[in-house]
Amino acid sequence: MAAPTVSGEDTLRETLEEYGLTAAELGLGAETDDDAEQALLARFLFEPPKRTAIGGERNGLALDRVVKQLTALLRMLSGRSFSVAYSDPPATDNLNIYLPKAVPAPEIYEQDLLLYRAMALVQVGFLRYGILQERAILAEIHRDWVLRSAYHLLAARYVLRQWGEEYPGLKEDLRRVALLDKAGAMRVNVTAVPRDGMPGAFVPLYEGLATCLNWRQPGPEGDPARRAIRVVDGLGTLGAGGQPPATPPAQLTTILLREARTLREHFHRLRLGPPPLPWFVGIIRPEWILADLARDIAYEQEWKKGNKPLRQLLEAMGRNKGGALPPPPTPDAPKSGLRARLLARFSGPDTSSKAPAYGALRDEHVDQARAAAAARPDEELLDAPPKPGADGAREYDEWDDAAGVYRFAAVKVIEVEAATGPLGGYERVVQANQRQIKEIRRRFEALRVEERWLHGQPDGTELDMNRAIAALTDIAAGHQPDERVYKRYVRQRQTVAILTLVDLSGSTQGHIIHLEQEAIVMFAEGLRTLGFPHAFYGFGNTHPQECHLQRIKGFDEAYGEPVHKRMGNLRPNGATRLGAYLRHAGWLLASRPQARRVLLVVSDGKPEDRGEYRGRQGVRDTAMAVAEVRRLGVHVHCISLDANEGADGYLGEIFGAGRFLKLDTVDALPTRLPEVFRGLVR
Amino acid sequence: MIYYRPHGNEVEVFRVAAARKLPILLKGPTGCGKTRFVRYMAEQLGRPLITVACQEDLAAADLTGRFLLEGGQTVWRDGPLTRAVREGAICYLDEVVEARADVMTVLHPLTDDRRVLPLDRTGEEIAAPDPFLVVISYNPGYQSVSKELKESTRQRFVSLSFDYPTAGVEAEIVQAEAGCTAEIAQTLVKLGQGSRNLRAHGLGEGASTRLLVYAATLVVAGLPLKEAAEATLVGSLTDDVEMTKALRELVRSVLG
Repeated sequence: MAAPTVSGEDTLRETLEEYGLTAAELGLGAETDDDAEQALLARFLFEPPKRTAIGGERNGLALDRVVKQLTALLRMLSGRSFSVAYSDPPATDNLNIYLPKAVPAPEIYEQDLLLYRAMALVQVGFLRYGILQERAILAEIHRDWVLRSAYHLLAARYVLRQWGEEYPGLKEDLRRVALLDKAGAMRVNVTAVPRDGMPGAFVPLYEGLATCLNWRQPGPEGDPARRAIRVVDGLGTLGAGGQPPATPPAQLTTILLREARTLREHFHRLRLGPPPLPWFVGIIRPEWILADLARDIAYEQEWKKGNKPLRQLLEAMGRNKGGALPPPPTPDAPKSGLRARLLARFSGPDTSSKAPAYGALRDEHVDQARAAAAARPDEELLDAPPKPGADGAREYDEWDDAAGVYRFAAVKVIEVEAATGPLGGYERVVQANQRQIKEIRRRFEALRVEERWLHGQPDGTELDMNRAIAALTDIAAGHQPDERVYKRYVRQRQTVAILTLVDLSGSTQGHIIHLEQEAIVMFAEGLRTLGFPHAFYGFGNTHPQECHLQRIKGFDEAYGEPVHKRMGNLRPNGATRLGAYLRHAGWLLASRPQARRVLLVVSDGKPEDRGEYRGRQGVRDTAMAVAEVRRLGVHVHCISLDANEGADGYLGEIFGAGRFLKLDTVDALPTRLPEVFRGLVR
Repeated sequence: MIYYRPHGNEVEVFRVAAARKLPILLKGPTGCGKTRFVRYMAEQLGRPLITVACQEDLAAADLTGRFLLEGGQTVWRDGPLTRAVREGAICYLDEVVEARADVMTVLHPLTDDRRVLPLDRTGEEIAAPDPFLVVISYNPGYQSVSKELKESTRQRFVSLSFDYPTAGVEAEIVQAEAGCTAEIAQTLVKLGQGSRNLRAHGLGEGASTRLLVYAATLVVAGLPLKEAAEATLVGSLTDDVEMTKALRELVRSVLG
């Protein structure tokens, strides 16, 4: 039989276009033989995926109903956190996992939960065992659907076996999943496949994955697949005590790829296309991961080159002119003209400013600073807040770690009003999170009061034994006793002043800034109910010596349209000269009358700025700033969105052990921020 | 004989600090063995142990002592700290951050080279004998503004940090404490470790070693493992419905 000419041709073309494929890539070349299996496989492509009405009666279980439970379970089983987002079929980008919004109807809670768990375990397993880590492998399977599907099936088999070995309960679960009709629904890539047959060469690959389909056992054409799964099954060896291997078995992915290549050759010889995938094992999307990698690498290189803002500006200038970009800067470029001035502004110390340049630290500077430090006792640093200059800026000292001295008035902090914009941003967050906000308010209610015994009362519920005895002693000695001999248990209204300092530096661009926005809106809604004095400020400096602190909501500012507009329109920009911002925020809090003052810092990475304010310098100055602020009686706590393994080191150095929370997933910020605050003041 | 399974050099450090009359601070999460360790060390050193479970209403006077009325007369009664000083005992203040601030003030002269306890009400100043030792403990994981140990106080103590033991050691402890089989101990430890992955991600604390011992004890007493796990590792860790379901799923994943 020739290539299919059935009425579904248009569907085929659309499918191919949608996924950027050619018919040849799917094994549907013009030279296709009149082969029953080939015809069957071709026909698979013409059945569109089943559509389900999310939230409607025709759905099975919806992800939203089980996502919290599921992520908690995955964290317990794997020790890692994952964000879960929507995608059908399931997939991963090596950071988050993506699951369908709902499983097909009918809803059978236990079965559907089982199915979700299995879908998640496959994707988490891919992350855990590094199945999608090798760029070369991803690049190779990217355009070859046969190879990709074979690699996928073998990898899924491997990770599910590993889960089963490690957790005996899961082994039984996965066996049950393989028997579920819904789980066994077959797809070629993203297209559903009717289940009335399967090429014999594929059949062994589904053993244990989709046993519900009960295909006839194939003859010799199934031998390569049988051999491949024997190899994969031989790879799983657990460590001592039933623990998973610390690292994936040596060359795991290489072996999987080798077997997949062998299978591809075999399938090609039989003129077969890609083996269909059981729905629950999802799809591998190398393009997601490769695109992310490419973006990360480009971003990193950009930062390594430095001058990111300059480059962006130059690029913008180039675009505006409609011409080519100006040549890259060279060391001996002329020091005049706009470009030279821009270069001087963004790439080196600002010589036009009177503020001391951080870059070139000469011996005489160190000597001067040391002499000044010696003449100025430590306490003076904390005596009073710096006085504002004519421009409203306050100057702060910075710790110079290399020289071991404070550099006086090294940096200015200028309070400015945060950017404003449409009101919709704020309202959207409130609308979308009504349930969570209600819950935050409910939990915050308990913070309103503190319960304690008031001793030495003229009246009360119990006798204050110490005072009663003292009174009796006085009577015995002939003295006038104090009549305040009672104590009573009271629930007193407590107040805490809280300032939240939010990172608005350039690195928060994109997803993080939206989450920060969501987090402060939800937090603000809770704090409003509570009535604690609070303020929100954002930081991100575009100039090394002039740090603009963006006031989103000041302590004495009432909620209303202006504040809502600022809260709903956060804009990222600049670097993270955190020490200066902390010092200023510390003084803002120290001037509050409340006995308890809390400074919450939300940041997504290391404190870094241009010039020398990076690496050790940034960390040490910020650590000194935290110590100074604590001496003012302010409790400082950080929520970090820096998921890097090494982040604990610098966070501990800056904020101290137990005084920071590193979120594994940034998505948790909106719910964690109010929780952290609640934990701090309860 | 008190059972304690060391998992670092804590015994050695405690022994040396006690010999040199240096006060000791134990830091660690709930139920990781801090109290058991102090009891063990007191036994090893042959010193009496006086334990005070601190709470928010505990004031300095509760530790030092107070006058009581007896037959119309006022009589001084020593508090646990004064008794420990007089007897040369180890005074262990458990969860000291829960107590009122004046408790730390009364400890100060006992935790530096003076080693004395001034009693304002009686006008006495009791010199602590050599065997007297102050040991305090707290859980840094609480992270509450009002429940912090001041830096100046922390620096008066030799610190020993505790955490949950490694899987192998913890299984040994559970087995030894509850008298269960190694297999049950290992299974429970696996459950405990899984629940600890949720620390600060839905659970305030994961399952403590103590809770694992409770579970094993129930099993030894004849309760099926699943029911013992439900009663301890699920029910005692959270009231949150979703977290409870997740913990139940963990139990099912491990036990089948």
